[in-house]
Amino acid sequence: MVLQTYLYAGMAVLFGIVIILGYLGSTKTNSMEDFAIAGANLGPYVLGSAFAATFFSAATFVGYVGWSYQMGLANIWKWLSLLAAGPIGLLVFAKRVRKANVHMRSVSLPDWLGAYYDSQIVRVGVGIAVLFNLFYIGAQLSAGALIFEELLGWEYEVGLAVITVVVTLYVMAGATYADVYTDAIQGALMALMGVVVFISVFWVFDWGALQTFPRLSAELEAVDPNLVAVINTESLLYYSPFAIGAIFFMDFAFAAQPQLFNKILSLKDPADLRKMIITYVFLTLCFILVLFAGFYMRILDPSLAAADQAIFVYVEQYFPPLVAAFLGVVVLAAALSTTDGLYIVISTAIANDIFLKFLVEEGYINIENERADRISRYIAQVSVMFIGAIAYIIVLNPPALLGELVWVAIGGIAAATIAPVIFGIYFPNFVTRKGAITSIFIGLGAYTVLAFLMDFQSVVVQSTYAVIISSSTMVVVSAVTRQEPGVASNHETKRAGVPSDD
Amino acid sequence: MAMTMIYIWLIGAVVSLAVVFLLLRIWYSDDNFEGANRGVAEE
Repeated sequence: MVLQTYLYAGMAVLFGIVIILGYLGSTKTNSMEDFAIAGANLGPYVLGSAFAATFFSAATFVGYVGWSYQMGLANIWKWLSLLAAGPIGLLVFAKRVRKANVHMRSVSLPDWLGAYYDSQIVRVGVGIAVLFNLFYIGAQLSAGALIFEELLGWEYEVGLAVITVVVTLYVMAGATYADVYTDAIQGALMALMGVVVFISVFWVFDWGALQTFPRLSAELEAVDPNLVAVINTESLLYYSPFAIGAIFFMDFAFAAQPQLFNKILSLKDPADLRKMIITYVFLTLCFILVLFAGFYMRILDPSLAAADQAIFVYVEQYFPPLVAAFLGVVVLAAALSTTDGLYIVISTAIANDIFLKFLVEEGYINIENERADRISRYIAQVSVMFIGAIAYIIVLNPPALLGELVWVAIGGIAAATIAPVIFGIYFPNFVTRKGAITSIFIGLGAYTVLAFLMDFQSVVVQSTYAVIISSSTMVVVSAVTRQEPGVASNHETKRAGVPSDD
Repeated sequence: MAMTMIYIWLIGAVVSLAVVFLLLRIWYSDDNFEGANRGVAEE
């Protein structure tokens, strides 16, 4: 009862802040560029924290803790992957992407790739691929609804409806200005909560500092020897070295996801990337400690009905009500922060990449530029409503593991976009438009077949196969076709090859 | 045997951070940004 009072109060404060920031954001949002990337005008610490908050969503707090609960210490592979592969992916992509964009001034991943390959088909293809994020949004909304269900005792459907409406209205009003600032605050709160949950082992179990980890391992082993296995053959994700490698590979690829990509494009000065990345890595280190809650909970109660309940049951039973309520609010904030970023990615794909840059620029719709920009903002806002409705329907029946649903989305987008991004920025003289187009569509097709028609144990492994197929396609087609004029023409490396162009 | 994953965790964390900061130092030192800054200045 005390917990519920604190939680209602905490949510009232959170929504109050969100509404104020949404209002402030709406007063600053005047153009499509403002809506999508806040006019490329934000500082490195704000963006670093926002990047982390978007990278780590309610899926980290709820879904990945559920993985720890279900699969045991093998989920430390995921922990290491989040610490190493994610940041390395960002290091590999960020600088060249941001540099190229100084000249191209794109506002999204579809736009960036469309400009890079000078192709409307690329722009529209990637615009279609980012629609996979509907699953991702669904997973975040579902995590938000679980907070209401587990901590407040609401019906799941009621909680889901409330959070869907709140996020939808918020994104329609404020767009990225609010998105980035609320993300930045949420990033800091999530990092704090990660540390608190991790160190709770010292008072919840009271094993003494030096014996904590030996005892943790021994207790898990007593529950089930598979829970301490390096390769957990009984698990969905860590059953073989290849499956573990796939986790690292996909976290690396995840760094180029469109909602994260937008943050790189939002950076005011490319030289600030270093500060942004250090902020992100530090916060990451703090966040991911939350994964340990799943190990603790498995020892305390090995018989939960659903693995995704682990984090909620843990804080509810083993923390003071005030801390538990605070964690509830942080997870809710995490669901909001990632979801609004994803809404913007999809609505930008429809309004900017397909309407403005394709239908208007190609002359299919004949209106002047100023009016087109205004209409595109209306389209962005209307599409936000549809996104909310579809995502709501997707998770009306909650999935068995939230973390898996997230990876359905990431895999689909990665299959279409990783190859054109990475080969484009590293081999600008080699890639061709035909290579990019075939790779995008074959990647999408292969992923759809692998994910929806075949039965893979690991969602991450199926995504890895799709990325390998699309990357091979990109290499083979680029090798046998001649580079078209206009492809990669804004690339720094390529420009450097032209004698004294400026 | 039960502790293997914990050792992997501790060693892996140190190695991961070392690699990330090393790459950051190599690829993201200030003098690597002249081109990008010039681009901003032009606009």
